[in-house]
Amino acid sequence: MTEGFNPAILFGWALAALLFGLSLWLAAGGQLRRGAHIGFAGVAVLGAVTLYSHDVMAMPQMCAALLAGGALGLLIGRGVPKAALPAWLGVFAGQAGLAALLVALAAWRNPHAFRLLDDATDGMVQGAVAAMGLGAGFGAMACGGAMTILRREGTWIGPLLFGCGLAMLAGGMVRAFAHDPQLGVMGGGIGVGLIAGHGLVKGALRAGVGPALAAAGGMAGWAVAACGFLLENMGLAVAGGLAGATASLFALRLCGWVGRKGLADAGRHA
Amino acid sequence: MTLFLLISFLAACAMGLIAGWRARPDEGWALVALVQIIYAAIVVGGLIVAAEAGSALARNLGLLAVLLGSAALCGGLVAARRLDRP
Repeated sequence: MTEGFNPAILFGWALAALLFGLSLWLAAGGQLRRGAHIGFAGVAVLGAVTLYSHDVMAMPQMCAALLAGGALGLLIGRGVPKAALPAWLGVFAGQAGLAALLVALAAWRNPHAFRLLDDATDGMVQGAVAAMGLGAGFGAMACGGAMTILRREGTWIGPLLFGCGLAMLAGGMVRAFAHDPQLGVMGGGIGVGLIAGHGLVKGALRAGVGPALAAAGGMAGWAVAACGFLLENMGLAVAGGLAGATASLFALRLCGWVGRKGLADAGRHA
Repeated sequence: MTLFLLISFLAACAMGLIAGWRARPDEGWALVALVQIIYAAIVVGGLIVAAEAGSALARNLGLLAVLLGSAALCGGLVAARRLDRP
C-alpha cells in the first residue's frame, strides 16, 4: 500500500496536485470547460501513478468497472435535461461519497492487505481506524445529502439542528470505532452519517440548490481526503482537501453563515 | 509519510479555502461542477483497493467503488461541459 518516496510516484502526485489547483484557478476565472478538462487530466495522472505503483491483480475486472462506470456517467450526463443537471450534480456527489464508503469498508474487511495491523498488538492502527471511520461517515453524509437534494421539500431549521447534533454524535462514534472496530459501531456510524447529511443539506436547501450541492460536495471531498490518509496516497489527500475546503467554505458563504454578502442567488438555475 | 501527507493536505485545504473565499456567486455552478470532478478522484482509491485486496469481498467492494467513481468522473465532466454552454 505504501508507495514510499519513489521519485516517479512523487512527480506524478505533484503533477496531479498541480493540475487540480490549475483547474480550480481556471474555473474561478470563468473557464469552466478548460478547467474541467484539466481536472480530468489530473485524475487520469493519479490513476496512471496508481497503476504504476501497485501490483495489480484484477486488471480485467478493473478495466470493466472503469468502462462500465464511464458509460453510466456519460448516459446520465448526456441524457438528463439541462434544467435538471444541477440536481444530478448532487447524484454524482452521492456516488463519490458511496465510493469512499465502500473503500473504507473494504479496508476494514481486509486490513492485512493494506498493512493496517499493528505488529505489537495485532489490532488495527489507531490512525487508520480513525481515517476509516471518517471516510465512511463523510461518505454516508454525502449520500444522505444527495438523496435530500433529489427530494427537495419540507422545512429547514429542524433538520438543520438535527443534522448538527447527529454530526457531533457521528464524531463520537468515530472515536468509539477507533477503540473497538466492530461492525455494529461501523453500521451505526454510517446510519448516523446518512441522517446527518440529510439534515445538513436540507438546511442548506433553504438558500437554494447551489448551496446544498456545495455542502454535499464538501462532505464527499472530506470523505476522499480520509481515504487518502487511509491508503497513504498523497494525490487523494490533496484532491479531497481541495474539494472539501472549497465546497464547504463556498456552501457556508452561499448560506450566509460566513462572510454575509447576499450570495444566496446561486440557485438560479434550479 | 504521514507528516508528508498532512503537510500536502493542509496546503491543499489552504488553497481550497482561498478559492472558496474568492469565488463569486455567478461562478457558483462552475466551482461546484469543477469540485465535483476533483473529488471523483476517489476512483483512484477504488483502484488501489481492487488492486491490493486479499479477499473476494474486499475486491468486489473496490470494484464497485471504481464503477461509482468512474460514473461520477465521466458524468461530472459531461455535466460541466453542458453547464458551460450558454
